[in-house]
Amino acid sequence: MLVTAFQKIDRWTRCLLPGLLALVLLLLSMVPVRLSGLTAISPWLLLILVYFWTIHRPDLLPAWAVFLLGFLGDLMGGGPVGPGAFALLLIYAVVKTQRRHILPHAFIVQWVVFALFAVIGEALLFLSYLVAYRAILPVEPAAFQALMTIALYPCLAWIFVQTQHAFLRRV
Amino acid sequence: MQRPLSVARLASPLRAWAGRIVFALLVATAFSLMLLSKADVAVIERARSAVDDAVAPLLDALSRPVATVNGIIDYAEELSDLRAENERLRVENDRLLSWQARAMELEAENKRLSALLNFAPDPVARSVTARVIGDQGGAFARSLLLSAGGDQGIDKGQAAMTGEGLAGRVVGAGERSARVLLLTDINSRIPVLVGEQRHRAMLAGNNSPEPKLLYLDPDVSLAAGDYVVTSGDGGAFPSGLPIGRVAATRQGTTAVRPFIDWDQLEVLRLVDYGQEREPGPLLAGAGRR
Repeated sequence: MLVTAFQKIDRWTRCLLPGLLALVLLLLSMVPVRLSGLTAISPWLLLILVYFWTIHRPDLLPAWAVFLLGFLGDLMGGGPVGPGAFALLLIYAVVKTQRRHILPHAFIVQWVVFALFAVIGEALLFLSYLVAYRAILPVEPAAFQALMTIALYPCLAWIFVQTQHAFLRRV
Repeated sequence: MQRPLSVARLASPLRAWAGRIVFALLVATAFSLMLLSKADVAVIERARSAVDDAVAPLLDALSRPVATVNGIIDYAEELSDLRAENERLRVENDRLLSWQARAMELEAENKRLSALLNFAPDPVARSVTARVIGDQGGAFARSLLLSAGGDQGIDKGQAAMTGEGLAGRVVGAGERSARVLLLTDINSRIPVLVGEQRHRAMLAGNNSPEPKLLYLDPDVSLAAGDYVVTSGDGGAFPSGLPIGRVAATRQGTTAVRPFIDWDQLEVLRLVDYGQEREPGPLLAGAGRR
Protein backbone atom coordinates (compact mmCIF):
# COMPACT_ATOMS: atom_id res chain seq x y z
CA MET A 1 0.00 0.00 0.00
CA LEU A 2 1.27 3.42 -0.87
CA VAL A 3 1.36 5.64 2.18
CA THR A 4 1.67 9.23 1.08
CA ALA A 5 2.78 12.09 3.27
CA PHE A 6 -0.75 13.42 3.28
CA GLN A 7 -2.14 10.15 4.59
CA LYS A 8 0.45 10.16 7.34
CA ILE A 9 -0.50 13.68 8.40
CA ASP A 10 -4.16 12.71 8.27
CA ARG A 11 -3.54 9.72 10.51
CA TRP A 12 -1.49 11.74 12.96
CA THR A 13 -4.18 14.39 13.30
CA ARG A 14 -6.78 11.72 13.93
CA CYS A 15 -4.58 10.13 16.60
CA LEU A 16 -4.31 13.51 18.32
CA LEU A 17 -8.10 13.76 18.62
CA PRO A 18 -8.48 12.61 22.27
CA GLY A 19 -5.81 15.11 23.31
CA LEU A 20 -7.44 17.92 21.32
CA LEU A 21 -10.83 17.06 22.82
CA ALA A 22 -9.24 17.24 26.27
CA LEU A 23 -7.88 20.72 25.55
CA VAL A 24 -11.33 21.88 24.39
CA LEU A 25 -12.88 20.44 27.58
CA LEU A 26 -10.28 22.18 29.73
CA LEU A 27 -11.10 25.49 28.04
CA LEU A 28 -14.85 24.98 28.33
CA SER A 29 -14.58 24.15 32.02
CA MET A 30 -12.90 27.56 32.54
CA VAL A 31 -15.70 29.61 30.95
CA PRO A 32 -17.46 31.50 33.72
CA VAL A 33 -21.14 30.55 33.78
CA ARG A 34 -22.99 32.91 36.06
CA LEU A 35 -26.15 30.95 36.77
CA SER A 36 -26.60 31.31 40.48
CA GLY A 37 -25.86 28.12 42.38
CA LEU A 38 -24.33 26.33 39.41
CA THR A 39 -21.06 28.26 39.52
CA ALA A 40 -19.74 26.75 42.70
CA ILE A 41 -18.59 23.33 41.58
CA SER A 42 -17.93 22.19 38.03
CA PRO A 43 -17.55 18.52 37.06
CA TRP A 44 -14.16 16.87 36.57
CA LEU A 45 -14.34 16.58 32.79
CA LEU A 46 -10.82 15.19 32.41
CA LEU A 47 -11.72 12.10 34.43
CA ILE A 48 -14.56 11.30 32.02
CA LEU A 49 -12.23 11.73 29.08
CA VAL A 50 -9.45 9.60 30.56
CA TYR A 51 -11.88 6.80 31.51
CA PHE A 52 -13.60 6.74 28.12
CA TRP A 53 -10.50 6.77 25.96
CA THR A 54 -8.56 4.36 28.17
CA ILE A 55 -11.36 1.84 27.71
CA HIS A 56 -11.95 2.43 24.01
CA ARG A 57 -8.61 3.52 22.56
CA PRO A 58 -5.78 3.31 25.10
CA ASP A 59 -3.30 3.52 22.22
CA LEU A 60 -4.38 7.12 21.62
CA LEU A 61 -3.96 8.16 25.24
CA PRO A 62 -0.48 7.29 26.56
CA ALA A 63 0.46 7.86 30.21
CA TRP A 64 2.52 10.97 29.42
CA ALA A 65 -0.50 12.55 27.75
CA VAL A 66 -2.60 11.85 30.85
CA PHE A 67 0.12 13.45 32.97
CA LEU A 68 0.33 16.51 30.71
CA LEU A 69 -3.44 16.99 30.70
CA GLY A 70 -3.63 16.66 34.48
CA PHE A 71 -0.73 19.09 34.86
CA LEU A 72 -2.39 21.58 32.51
CA GLY A 73 -5.70 21.23 34.35
CA ASP A 74 -3.95 21.91 37.66
CA LEU A 75 -2.20 24.99 36.24
CA MET A 76 -5.43 26.38 34.81
CA GLY A 77 -7.34 25.63 38.00
CA GLY A 78 -5.17 28.08 39.91
CA GLY A 79 -4.57 25.78 42.87
CA PRO A 80 -1.59 23.59 43.70
CA VAL A 81 0.02 21.74 40.80
CA GLY A 82 0.21 17.96 40.95
CA PRO A 83 -2.94 16.58 42.61
CA GLY A 84 -4.94 16.37 39.37
CA ALA A 85 -2.09 14.76 37.45
CA PHE A 86 -1.42 12.29 40.28
CA ALA A 87 -5.04 11.18 40.71
CA LEU A 88 -5.63 10.93 36.95
CA LEU A 89 -2.51 8.79 36.43
CA LEU A 90 -3.50 6.31 39.14
CA ILE A 91 -7.06 6.00 37.82
CA TYR A 92 -5.67 5.63 34.29
CA ALA A 93 -3.43 2.75 35.36
CA VAL A 94 -6.25 0.87 37.08
CA VAL A 95 -8.76 1.41 34.26
CA LYS A 96 -6.18 0.24 31.74
CA THR A 97 -5.72 -3.10 33.53
CA GLN A 98 -9.50 -3.56 33.79
CA ARG A 99 -10.51 -2.39 30.31
CA ARG A 100 -10.95 -5.89 28.92
CA HIS A 101 -13.56 -6.59 31.58
CA ILE A 102 -15.37 -3.27 31.08
CA LEU A 103 -15.35 -2.92 27.29
CA PRO A 104 -17.67 -5.80 26.29
CA HIS A 105 -20.46 -4.63 28.58
CA ALA A 106 -23.43 -2.45 27.75
CA PHE A 107 -23.25 1.30 28.16
CA ILE A 108 -25.18 1.30 31.42
CA VAL A 109 -22.67 -1.10 33.01
CA GLN A 110 -19.79 1.06 31.78
CA TRP A 111 -21.52 4.03 33.38
CA VAL A 112 -21.94 2.23 36.73
CA VAL A 113 -18.27 1.23 36.68
CA PHE A 114 -17.42 4.84 35.83
CA ALA A 115 -19.41 5.99 38.86
CA LEU A 116 -17.24 3.73 41.01
CA PHE A 117 -14.06 5.15 39.46
CA ALA A 118 -15.39 8.70 39.85
CA VAL A 119 -15.87 8.17 43.58
CA ILE A 120 -12.42 6.59 43.95
CA GLY A 121 -10.84 9.30 41.76
CA GLU A 122 -12.48 12.11 43.68
CA ALA A 123 -11.35 10.55 46.97
CA LEU A 124 -7.80 10.32 45.60
CA LEU A 125 -7.99 13.93 44.45
CA PHE A 126 -9.28 14.99 47.85
CA LEU A 127 -6.43 13.20 49.64
CA SER A 128 -3.90 14.66 47.18
CA TYR A 129 -5.14 18.16 47.96
CA LEU A 130 -4.86 17.43 51.68
CA VAL A 131 -1.20 16.59 51.08
CA ALA A 132 -0.68 19.65 48.87
CA TYR A 133 -2.37 22.14 51.22
CA ARG A 134 -1.45 20.33 54.48
CA ALA A 135 -4.83 21.52 55.76
CA ILE A 136 -8.31 20.13 56.32
CA LEU A 137 -10.69 20.75 53.44
CA PRO A 138 -14.48 20.66 53.37
CA VAL A 139 -15.73 17.33 51.96
CA GLU A 140 -19.01 18.58 50.46
CA PRO A 141 -17.54 20.24 47.33
CA ALA A 142 -15.62 17.06 46.46
CA ALA A 143 -18.71 14.90 46.93
CA PHE A 144 -20.76 17.30 44.85
CA GLN A 145 -18.12 17.34 42.11
CA ALA A 146 -18.14 13.52 42.00
CA LEU A 147 -21.94 13.54 41.56
CA MET A 148 -21.76 16.19 38.82
CA THR A 149 -19.07 14.19 37.03
CA ILE A 150 -21.11 10.97 37.17
CA ALA A 151 -24.21 12.79 35.92
CA LEU A 152 -22.37 14.31 32.97
CA TYR A 153 -20.78 11.04 31.81
CA PRO A 154 -23.51 9.92 29.35
CA CYS A 155 -23.52 13.30 27.63
CA LEU A 156 -19.75 13.43 27.07
CA ALA A 157 -19.54 9.72 26.28
CA TRP A 158 -22.09 10.25 23.50
CA ILE A 159 -19.95 13.02 22.00
CA PHE A 160 -16.85 10.80 22.24
CA VAL A 161 -18.65 7.88 20.57
CA GLN A 162 -19.72 10.17 17.71
CA THR A 163 -16.15 11.44 17.35
CA GLN A 164 -14.85 7.90 17.31
CA HIS A 165 -17.32 6.86 14.60
CA ALA A 166 -16.65 9.91 12.49
CA PHE A 167 -12.87 10.09 12.62
CA LEU A 168 -11.30 7.02 14.16
CA ARG A 169 -12.92 4.06 12.41
CA ARG A 170 -9.92 3.11 10.35
CA VAL A 171 -7.16 4.60 12.46
CA MET B 1 4.34 -4.50 9.33
CA GLN B 2 5.98 -7.92 9.63
CA ARG B 3 9.03 -8.22 11.84
CA PRO B 4 11.22 -11.24 12.55
CA LEU B 5 9.65 -13.18 15.38
CA SER B 6 12.68 -13.13 17.69
CA VAL B 7 12.90 -9.33 17.63
CA ALA B 8 9.18 -9.03 18.33
CA ARG B 9 9.44 -11.51 21.18
CA LEU B 10 12.26 -9.52 22.73
CA ALA B 11 10.85 -6.08 21.99
CA SER B 12 7.41 -6.42 23.52
CA PRO B 13 8.48 -7.19 27.14
CA LEU B 14 11.14 -4.50 26.85
CA ARG B 15 8.53 -2.03 25.71
CA ALA B 16 6.24 -3.05 28.55
CA TRP B 17 9.05 -2.49 31.06
CA ALA B 18 9.93 0.87 29.54
CA GLY B 19 6.26 1.81 29.78
CA ARG B 20 6.17 0.86 33.45
CA ILE B 21 9.30 2.87 34.23
CA VAL B 22 7.91 5.92 32.41
CA PHE B 23 4.65 5.55 34.33
CA ALA B 24 6.45 5.32 37.68
CA LEU B 25 8.49 8.41 36.81
CA LEU B 26 5.37 10.35 35.87
CA VAL B 27 3.60 9.41 39.12
CA ALA B 28 6.71 10.34 41.11
CA THR B 29 6.92 13.71 39.30
CA ALA B 30 3.26 14.45 39.98
CA PHE B 31 3.69 13.54 43.64
CA SER B 32 6.80 15.70 44.08
CA LEU B 33 5.07 18.63 42.39
CA MET B 34 2.26 18.17 44.90
CA LEU B 35 4.66 18.24 47.85
CA LEU B 36 6.43 21.31 46.44
CA SER B 37 3.25 23.28 45.90
CA LYS B 38 3.42 24.98 49.31
CA ALA B 39 6.64 26.69 48.28
CA ASP B 40 6.00 29.09 45.41
CA VAL B 41 8.24 27.57 42.78
CA ALA B 42 9.16 30.23 40.23
CA VAL B 43 9.15 27.81 37.29
CA ILE B 44 5.60 26.68 38.09
CA GLU B 45 4.43 30.28 38.45
CA ARG B 46 5.98 31.17 35.10
CA ALA B 47 4.40 28.11 33.47
CA ARG B 48 1.04 29.11 34.90
CA SER B 49 1.36 32.66 33.57
CA ALA B 50 2.38 31.33 30.15
CA VAL B 51 -0.62 28.98 30.02
CA ASP B 52 -2.93 31.76 31.23
CA ASP B 53 -1.59 34.11 28.56
CA ALA B 54 -2.08 31.44 25.89
CA VAL B 55 -5.68 30.65 26.82
CA ALA B 56 -6.73 34.22 27.67
CA PRO B 57 -7.70 35.28 24.10
CA LEU B 58 -9.67 32.04 23.59
CA LEU B 59 -11.43 32.34 26.93
CA ASP B 60 -12.09 36.00 26.25
CA ALA B 61 -13.89 35.04 23.03
CA LEU B 62 -15.71 32.12 24.67
CA SER B 63 -16.88 34.11 27.67
CA ARG B 64 -18.41 36.90 25.59
CA PRO B 65 -21.46 34.94 24.36
CA VAL B 66 -22.04 33.71 27.91
CA ALA B 67 -21.87 37.29 29.17
CA THR B 68 -24.28 38.35 26.43
CA VAL B 69 -26.80 35.65 27.35
CA ASN B 70 -26.50 36.64 31.00
CA GLY B 71 -27.06 40.24 29.98
CA ILE B 72 -30.22 39.33 28.05
CA ILE B 73 -31.59 37.34 31.00
CA ASP B 74 -30.85 40.25 33.34
CA TYR B 75 -32.51 42.65 30.89
CA ALA B 76 -35.68 40.55 30.72
CA GLU B 77 -35.80 40.31 34.50
CA GLU B 78 -35.33 44.07 34.82
CA LEU B 79 -38.11 44.84 32.34
CA SER B 80 -40.64 42.94 34.41
CA ASP B 81 -40.22 45.10 37.50
CA LEU B 82 -39.11 48.40 36.06
CA ARG B 83 -41.70 50.44 37.94
CA ALA B 84 -40.90 49.03 41.37
CA GLU B 85 -37.19 49.39 40.66
CA ASN B 86 -37.66 53.01 39.66
CA GLU B 87 -39.53 53.78 42.87
CA ARG B 88 -36.89 52.02 44.94
CA LEU B 89 -34.11 53.96 43.22
CA ARG B 90 -35.92 57.27 43.79
CA VAL B 91 -36.09 56.59 47.51
CA GLU B 92 -32.50 55.39 47.59
CA ASN B 93 -31.37 58.47 45.66
CA ASP B 94 -32.95 60.76 48.22
CA ARG B 95 -31.27 58.85 51.00
CA LEU B 96 -27.88 58.86 49.24
CA LEU B 97 -28.09 62.59 48.52
CA SER B 98 -28.38 63.29 52.23
CA TRP B 99 -25.44 60.93 52.82
CA GLN B 100 -23.46 62.75 50.15
CA ALA B 101 -23.97 66.06 51.93
CA ARG B 102 -22.87 64.41 55.17
CA ALA B 103 -19.82 62.86 53.45
CA MET B 104 -18.74 66.22 52.02
CA GLU B 105 -19.03 67.79 55.45
CA LEU B 106 -16.95 64.99 56.96
CA GLU B 107 -14.38 65.19 54.18
CA ALA B 108 -13.92 68.90 54.79
CA GLU B 109 -13.59 68.28 58.50
CA ASN B 110 -11.18 65.40 57.87
CA LYS B 111 -9.00 67.64 55.67
CA ARG B 112 -8.95 70.35 58.33
CA LEU B 113 -8.01 67.90 61.09
CA SER B 114 -5.44 66.11 58.92
CA ALA B 115 -3.79 69.46 58.20
CA LEU B 116 -3.74 70.19 61.94
CA LEU B 117 -2.06 66.84 62.63
CA ASN B 118 0.38 67.05 59.72
CA PHE B 119 -0.97 63.65 58.58
CA ALA B 120 0.71 61.94 55.60
CA PRO B 121 -2.10 60.77 53.33
CA ASP B 122 -2.08 57.36 51.62
CA PRO B 123 -0.68 57.54 48.10
CA VAL B 124 -3.35 58.01 45.44
CA ALA B 125 -4.51 54.66 44.11
CA ARG B 126 -4.45 53.79 40.41
CA SER B 127 -6.92 51.25 39.14
CA VAL B 128 -7.46 49.02 36.12
CA THR B 129 -10.75 47.33 35.31
CA ALA B 130 -10.68 43.81 33.88
CA ARG B 131 -13.25 41.29 32.78
CA VAL B 132 -13.47 37.86 34.43
CA ILE B 133 -12.80 35.38 31.62
CA GLY B 134 -12.02 32.22 33.54
CA ASP B 135 -13.55 30.61 36.57
CA GLN B 136 -12.51 27.02 37.05
CA GLY B 137 -15.14 26.47 39.71
CA GLY B 138 -13.10 23.62 41.09
CA ALA B 139 -13.91 21.94 44.36
CA PHE B 140 -10.43 22.62 45.72
CA ALA B 141 -9.40 26.16 44.78
CA ARG B 142 -11.06 29.53 44.38
CA SER B 143 -9.41 31.69 41.77
CA LEU B 144 -10.35 33.72 38.70
CA LEU B 145 -8.64 34.53 35.45
CA LEU B 146 -8.83 38.14 34.21
CA SER B 147 -8.62 39.63 30.73
CA ALA B 148 -5.85 42.11 31.55
CA GLY B 149 -2.29 41.61 32.71
CA GLY B 150 1.13 43.16 33.08
CA ASP B 151 0.70 45.10 29.83
CA GLN B 152 -2.17 46.98 31.45
CA GLY B 153 -0.27 47.60 34.66
CA ILE B 154 -1.60 44.71 36.71
CA ASP B 155 0.91 43.28 39.14
CA LYS B 156 1.13 40.72 41.92
CA GLY B 157 -0.31 41.88 45.24
CA GLN B 158 -2.90 44.31 43.92
CA ALA B 159 -6.35 44.33 45.49
CA ALA B 160 -9.25 43.00 43.39
CA MET B 161 -12.41 44.93 44.20
CA THR B 162 -15.98 45.27 43.08
CA GLY B 163 -18.34 48.06 44.05
CA GLU B 164 -19.42 45.91 46.98
CA GLY B 165 -16.04 45.25 48.50
CA LEU B 166 -12.82 43.26 48.37
CA ALA B 167 -12.88 40.07 46.28
CA GLY B 168 -9.26 38.93 46.61
CA ARG B 169 -5.78 39.76 45.45
CA VAL B 170 -3.69 39.26 42.34
CA VAL B 171 -1.37 36.29 42.79
CA GLY B 172 0.08 36.15 39.31
CA ALA B 173 0.17 38.33 36.23
CA GLY B 174 1.15 37.40 32.71
CA GLU B 175 1.32 39.84 29.82
CA ARG B 176 -2.39 39.83 29.00
CA SER B 177 -3.91 37.81 31.82
CA ALA B 178 -3.90 37.88 35.58
CA ARG B 179 -4.98 35.48 38.27
CA VAL B 180 -6.92 36.54 41.34
CA LEU B 181 -6.97 34.43 44.49
CA LEU B 182 -10.41 34.97 46.02
CA LEU B 183 -10.60 35.64 49.73
CA THR B 184 -12.57 32.41 50.14
CA ASP B 185 -9.65 30.28 48.88
CA ILE B 186 -7.97 28.09 51.46
CA ASN B 187 -4.63 29.82 50.80
CA SER B 188 -6.01 33.34 51.30
CA ARG B 189 -4.96 35.23 54.47
CA ILE B 190 -5.97 38.86 54.90
CA PRO B 191 -5.29 40.93 58.02
CA VAL B 192 -8.56 42.56 59.10
CA LEU B 193 -10.20 44.77 61.69
CA VAL B 194 -13.53 43.66 63.14
CA GLY B 195 -16.35 45.65 64.66
CA GLU B 196 -16.48 49.16 66.02
CA GLN B 197 -13.72 48.33 68.50
CA ARG B 198 -11.48 47.45 65.53
CA HIS B 199 -10.25 44.12 66.93
CA ARG B 200 -7.37 42.71 64.92
CA ALA B 201 -7.74 39.29 63.30
CA MET B 202 -6.73 37.30 60.23
CA LEU B 203 -9.40 36.45 57.67
CA ALA B 204 -8.62 32.93 56.46
CA GLY B 205 -10.40 31.33 53.52
CA ASN B 206 -11.44 27.70 53.73
CA ASN B 207 -12.92 27.09 50.25
CA SER B 208 -16.42 27.64 51.65
CA PRO B 209 -18.42 30.82 50.93
CA GLU B 210 -17.81 32.00 54.50
CA PRO B 211 -14.16 32.51 55.48
CA LYS B 212 -13.22 32.42 59.16
CA LEU B 213 -11.45 34.75 61.57
CA LEU B 214 -8.18 33.50 63.05
CA TYR B 215 -6.01 34.84 65.87
CA LEU B 216 -8.88 36.78 67.38
CA ASP B 217 -8.42 37.74 71.03
CA PRO B 218 -10.47 35.07 72.91
CA ASP B 219 -11.93 37.69 75.27
CA VAL B 220 -13.44 39.65 72.42
CA SER B 221 -17.16 39.24 71.93
CA LEU B 222 -18.46 39.87 68.45
CA ALA B 223 -22.03 40.25 67.31
CA ALA B 224 -23.47 39.02 64.05
CA GLY B 225 -23.45 41.91 61.62
CA ASP B 226 -20.19 43.49 62.81
CA TYR B 227 -18.23 45.04 59.96
CA VAL B 228 -15.01 43.45 58.74
CA VAL B 229 -12.52 45.67 56.88
CA THR B 230 -8.87 45.31 55.86
CA SER B 231 -6.42 46.42 58.51
CA GLY B 232 -3.56 47.33 56.21
CA ASP B 233 -1.13 45.29 58.32
CA GLY B 234 1.61 43.78 56.22
CA GLY B 235 1.33 46.59 53.71
CA ALA B 236 -0.38 44.71 50.91
CA PHE B 237 -3.66 46.62 51.14
CA PRO B 238 -4.55 49.97 52.65
CA SER B 239 -6.69 49.84 55.75
CA GLY B 240 -10.45 50.17 55.59
CA LEU B 241 -11.37 48.28 52.39
CA PRO B 242 -14.80 46.74 53.05
CA ILE B 243 -14.90 42.92 53.15
CA GLY B 244 -18.08 41.74 54.82
CA ARG B 245 -19.97 41.21 58.06
CA VAL B 246 -19.66 38.70 60.85
CA ALA B 247 -22.18 35.96 60.03
CA ALA B 248 -22.15 33.74 63.08
CA THR B 249 -19.95 32.54 65.90
CA ARG B 250 -19.99 28.81 66.43
CA GLN B 251 -17.77 26.75 68.74
CA GLY B 252 -15.24 29.51 69.04
CA THR B 253 -14.87 30.11 65.31
CA THR B 254 -16.27 33.21 63.71
CA ALA B 255 -17.50 33.05 60.13
CA VAL B 256 -17.60 36.13 57.91
CA ARG B 257 -20.04 36.66 55.06
CA PRO B 258 -18.35 38.74 52.34
CA PHE B 259 -20.31 41.55 50.67
CA ILE B 260 -19.46 40.16 47.25
CA ASP B 261 -22.06 38.24 45.28
CA TRP B 262 -19.83 35.45 43.93
CA ASP B 263 -22.34 34.55 41.21
CA GLN B 264 -22.23 38.02 39.71
CA LEU B 265 -18.49 38.57 39.35
CA GLU B 266 -18.16 39.84 35.80
CA VAL B 267 -15.79 42.75 36.17
CA LEU B 268 -13.14 43.41 38.79
CA ARG B 269 -11.33 46.63 39.58
CA LEU B 270 -7.65 46.04 40.35
CA VAL B 271 -6.36 48.71 42.60
CA ASP B 272 -2.67 49.46 42.92
CA TYR B 273 -2.14 51.21 46.22
CA GLY B 274 1.56 51.23 45.48
CA GLN B 275 2.31 50.25 49.04
CA GLU B 276 4.76 47.48 48.32
CA ARG B 277 7.07 49.37 46.00
CA GLU B 278 6.68 52.76 47.63
CA PRO B 279 6.66 52.30 51.37
CA GLY B 280 5.25 55.30 53.19
CA PRO B 281 7.49 57.55 55.25
CA LEU B 282 8.36 56.25 58.69
CA LEU B 283 7.54 59.55 60.35
CA ALA B 284 4.35 61.35 59.45
CA GLY B 285 5.21 64.52 57.61
CA ALA B 286 8.80 63.48 56.92
CA GLY B 287 8.11 62.37 53.37
CA ARG B 288 5.82 65.16 52.22
CA ARG B 289 6.05 65.92 48.54
